[in-house]
Amino acid sequence: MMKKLVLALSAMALLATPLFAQTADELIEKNIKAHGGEKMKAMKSVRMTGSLKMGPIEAPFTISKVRPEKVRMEFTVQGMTGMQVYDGTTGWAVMPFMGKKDPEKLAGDQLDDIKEEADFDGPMVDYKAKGNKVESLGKVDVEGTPAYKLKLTLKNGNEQTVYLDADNYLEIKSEGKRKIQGQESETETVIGNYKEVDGVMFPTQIENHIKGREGAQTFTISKIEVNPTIDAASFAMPAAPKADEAPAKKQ
Amino acid sequence: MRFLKLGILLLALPLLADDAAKIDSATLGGLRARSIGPAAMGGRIAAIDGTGDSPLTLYVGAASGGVWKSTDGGFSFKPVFDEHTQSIGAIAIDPSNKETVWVGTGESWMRNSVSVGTGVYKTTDGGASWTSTGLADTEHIARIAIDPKATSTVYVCATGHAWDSNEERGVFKTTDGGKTWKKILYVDANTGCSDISLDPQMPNVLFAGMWQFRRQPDFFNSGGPGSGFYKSTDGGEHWTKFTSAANGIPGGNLGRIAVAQAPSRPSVVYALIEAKKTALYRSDDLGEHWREVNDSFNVTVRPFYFARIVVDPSDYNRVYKPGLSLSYSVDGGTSFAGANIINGSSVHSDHHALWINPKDPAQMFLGTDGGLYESRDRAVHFRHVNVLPVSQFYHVAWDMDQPYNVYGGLQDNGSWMAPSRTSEGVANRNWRNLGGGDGFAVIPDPSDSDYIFLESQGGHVVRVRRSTGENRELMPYAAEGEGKLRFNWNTPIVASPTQKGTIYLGAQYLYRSNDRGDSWVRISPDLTTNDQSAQKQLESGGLSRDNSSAENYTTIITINESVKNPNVIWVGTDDGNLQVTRDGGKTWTNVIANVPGVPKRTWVSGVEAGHFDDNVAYATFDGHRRGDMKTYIYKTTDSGKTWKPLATDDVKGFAQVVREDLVNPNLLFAGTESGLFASIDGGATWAQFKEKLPPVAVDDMTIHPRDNDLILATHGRGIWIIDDLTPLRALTTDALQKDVVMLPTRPAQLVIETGEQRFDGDTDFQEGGVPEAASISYYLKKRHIVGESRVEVYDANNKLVATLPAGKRKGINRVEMPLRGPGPRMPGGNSIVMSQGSLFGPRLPAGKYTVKLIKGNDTYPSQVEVVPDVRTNYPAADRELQQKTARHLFDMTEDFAFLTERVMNVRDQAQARAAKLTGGDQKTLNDLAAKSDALYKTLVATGEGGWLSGEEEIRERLGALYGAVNIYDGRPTDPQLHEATLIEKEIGKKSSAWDAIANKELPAANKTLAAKKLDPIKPMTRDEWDKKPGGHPTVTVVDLD
Repeated sequence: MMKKLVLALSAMALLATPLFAQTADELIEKNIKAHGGEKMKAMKSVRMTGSLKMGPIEAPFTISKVRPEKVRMEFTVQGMTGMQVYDGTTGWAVMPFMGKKDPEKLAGDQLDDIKEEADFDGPMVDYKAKGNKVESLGKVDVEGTPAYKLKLTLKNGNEQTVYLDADNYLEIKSEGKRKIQGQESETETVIGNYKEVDGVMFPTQIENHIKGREGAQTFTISKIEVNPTIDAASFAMPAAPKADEAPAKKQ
Repeated sequence: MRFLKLGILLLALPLLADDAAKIDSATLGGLRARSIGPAAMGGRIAAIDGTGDSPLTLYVGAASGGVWKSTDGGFSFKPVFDEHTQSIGAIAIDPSNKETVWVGTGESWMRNSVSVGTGVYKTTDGGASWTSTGLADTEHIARIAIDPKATSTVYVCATGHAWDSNEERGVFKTTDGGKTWKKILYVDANTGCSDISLDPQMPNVLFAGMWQFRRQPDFFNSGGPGSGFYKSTDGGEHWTKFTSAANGIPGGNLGRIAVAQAPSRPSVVYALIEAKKTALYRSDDLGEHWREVNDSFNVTVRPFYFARIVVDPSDYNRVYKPGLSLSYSVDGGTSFAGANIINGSSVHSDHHALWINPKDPAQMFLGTDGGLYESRDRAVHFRHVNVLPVSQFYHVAWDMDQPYNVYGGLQDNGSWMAPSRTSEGVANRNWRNLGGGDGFAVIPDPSDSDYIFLESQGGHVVRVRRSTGENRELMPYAAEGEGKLRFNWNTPIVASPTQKGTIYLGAQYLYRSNDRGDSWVRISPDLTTNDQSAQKQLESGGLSRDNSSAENYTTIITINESVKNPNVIWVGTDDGNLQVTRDGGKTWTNVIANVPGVPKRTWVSGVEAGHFDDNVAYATFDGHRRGDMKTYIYKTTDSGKTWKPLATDDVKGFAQVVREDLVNPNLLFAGTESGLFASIDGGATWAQFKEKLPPVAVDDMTIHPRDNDLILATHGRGIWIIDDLTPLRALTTDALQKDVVMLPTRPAQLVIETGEQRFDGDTDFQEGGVPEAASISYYLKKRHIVGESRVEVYDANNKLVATLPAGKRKGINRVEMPLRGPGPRMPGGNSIVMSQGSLFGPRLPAGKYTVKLIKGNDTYPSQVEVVPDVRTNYPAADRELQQKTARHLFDMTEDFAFLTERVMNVRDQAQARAAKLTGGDQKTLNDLAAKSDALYKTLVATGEGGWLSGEEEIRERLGALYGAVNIYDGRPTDPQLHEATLIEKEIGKKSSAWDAIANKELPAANKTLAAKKLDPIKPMTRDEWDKKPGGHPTVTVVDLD
């Protein structure tokens, strides 16, 4: 008898959770709300500063974004700064570590990548307008934590699986499947340390793994500026070599 | 009514509390298992399917090691079935959509060590996710065939249970993609399907071999009246059984049948039929008439184990017969020649699967007991695909080397050893073969690890000398009147934990040797039932005699001496006796009758004497050889008089081994057919260990007493190591209730850094690298999602030395604390400094560190200890000088970076101002810019060509020197110390040169600027520089809350 009563109670507990799986649109709406809703959508620009760690190696980085799709990402190793930039139409990069200081235009998968980074609110917000597809795959367990699983297929064909914490609807993990020069690569990203700045929830720690490989890159964001003034010129691809070399010409 | 509600609540409360306290897989989460292979020799490959695309997509099924997918034509593979049953019998790719793949679990190669399946699975996304589609009780599946014209119609050839009768066997058909199944061919509960062939042109035509067989612990029978050979022409609705009289197949009882239609001419059908006279048959009229074409050795050998016929996709007369070796016929089966014999490439024997590329029949993949091979020239030359870690271990052992080695024996692949860790991962080349045959126990002599005891099947014990490779046979012989000695297939050899140099060996008697096996003393009577009716292995096999010692029965299979008392020895037998002696073997007591709930004659698969009390012991029992799949784990605290069952519903699979921790008696580990399970409360509750570890059979495991690692011998996925059990030992049931519990870890060694320059491409296995880091551990009751979390590390002087991202998962977390800090700030140059050591900071000195987990507003302290690598041979003074020099060069580099930054910064400001001026004023500013720039160019390399410019200024010299000193923990060389003083002097000069500019050209420029009412040029201060991003990497945390 006692056992039966306990069973009944557990059955009641089950009823308390919705019988029907939440649709992708409902989940995305809750996710947007969790991130700050209108406040997030009202944001025009953002700058995030922090540090990238790979084992003992550490590199400072800055990411600047301007709505709807401008981004500039910089990181510094041994005093040398690499950058990847998208100005809304053109993607370019400077990777000076082996001696090449000139900017290079990005194309193909690399361009797709930087464009994804540039999408100000991420691929789930207004996904239909952006040509992305979203599918709800139900409630799953992420390392012991219940989460909703959403599968995104981006317009460019790359796939992302996003896990939203079942309590607060924030992303806690994502898995990406993308083509790099036609090669498929799978990544796993752990997302956390959410903090509120001006009413918007930002993750401040993002840990990236390549699936099946040891080691991780961890981005720790120490400073977030909402709506900073960002010089529009900083997104434009420079035509000439960089400023460091200028004095030689003047003399 | 109110009363009732209250009652429910009261009842529920303690229950909920209990639930919260129970460990689950997530609790164990952060303790990852790492695979160290090997893949040099594979395990048995039971099934292969592929597409003919370029590059090829391949799916490979291991007999007990899961499904592996390659999308690059078989160079690299990844496991795609790691959440499901690891025994694979059949794989079929949907011909109309290669993202849809069917897997039949449970191999059908019915040897003594055959694993067990759980039905049919299907993926529609190329293996990313799988759904179980039923037939769970079939246990073994030989083949899946998909109708090429209507791919939701699928046939499953289910062999059924090996060890008992069952009804879910025969041929099954679905027409709705696996939602429902219909049994379309069934004989009886002892007969299953051994093979089917689906006509590629007329998919309603089917051939099926039905096989009556039974495996028993002591006997194998293939063949009987249930066996038969069938054909259907209506998609399996009706079947015709071939007869000797009407169709020309053999008469009498039949055994296992393999059948294959030629893809290029399906009216040509080949069938290998086990009978009184086993032979290959051929029909040229779609099975109406059969004629015997060949009965050569490799075609007919061991039909229960080698039952595949594969016809070349483009040539109906070219037929391959995977068998003991691979042979082929070019004349329609009339004559067979050995493949790869003439050119002598060595391919492991025992072949079970062969897939030929339909678009290029010269290319084929062959599945053997030794793994996967590829041929590109129609089976003349082969390459071993040595990236699949699917080796099938029976046992594992360790030694006390640094790092320790692991030893173990594999099904059909001999005896091996390998280091437990290397910094980049254990590779195939790190594995060393020590012995051949089937390998089982491999025991390094605790008194001298140059000697190793190992064996091949049936108790053939040898002692190998590692340094020379010589080996000596040690098998004891029966004394007069003792009868024939009976050694199990998997004979136990065990080293005494208390007496170095003493080893035990089990036949039906227990033997002990105190002289490394040169002589043996029998210390027991026959400890088995000695049931002579179960000793008929000479007659085993059924239609084809088969006695490989696999059916040796009434033997000892497990031995364990108490570490607390060398006179207490436990012995388990395959016929269900559990014996103990408390007087070193003078008297023995069979205590099996005291174990409640275990059926008679159940295999005593493992026994473990307790490590804290010589009256305590644990035992596992395995009844699967009688069709009993229950989990049996028991404990006694009174030397066997009474036994308590420990297995709960959370433990799955028949049990092979149980181990008690060496430090915490409440911490137990159980290895079963379905994986690894752990308990932190003495066996009251259990959770499956899942992190990285697939649900593969764990046949043996052991805890390394120095390094505290749990080492697993899996039968299908090689050796796995769970590093450092220290945190788990400290995790009590009480601790589970708390939000955060800091857990201890073992001291971290400053491991000597090594690296090999190798460029092996992707075709060599290397896994399980261990980062050079200390481990910080804690338990979180709930995942950390919102708010700050980080780990801070402080040295003995309470100085912050590292800030680390904190683990956030529910359960045990492990944060790796690198044993080096970040590298120094360096000025930019024309390329990075080509010295690896310059990217990192100096090593952390050995000593104790305080660790703080910061989570929201709370701080949780703990400690980690860093100790030198025990192998280093330099004195502390040398280490101190190295630390001092490296730190000094680190600081010099940062000071130098600041100097460079100031020079550059003033130059840039001067240039900017100059642009706004004219005439003499402009010249004054330009002078300052030019002087600064000239100095700048002597500080860092700026030449064109990047790292190929060869230019070396102070930055490059300093960076290279710092890197060289930083990477070796002993005394820096004299030239290094000298170079440091030279560079320091040089920097001093440059600093003076800068001061001169700052005192002359800079004031002049500022005077000019003041006259024009322009802002003066301010050189950057150290404080400003330190605040730039990356200034003080360890203290940049700005709390956003």
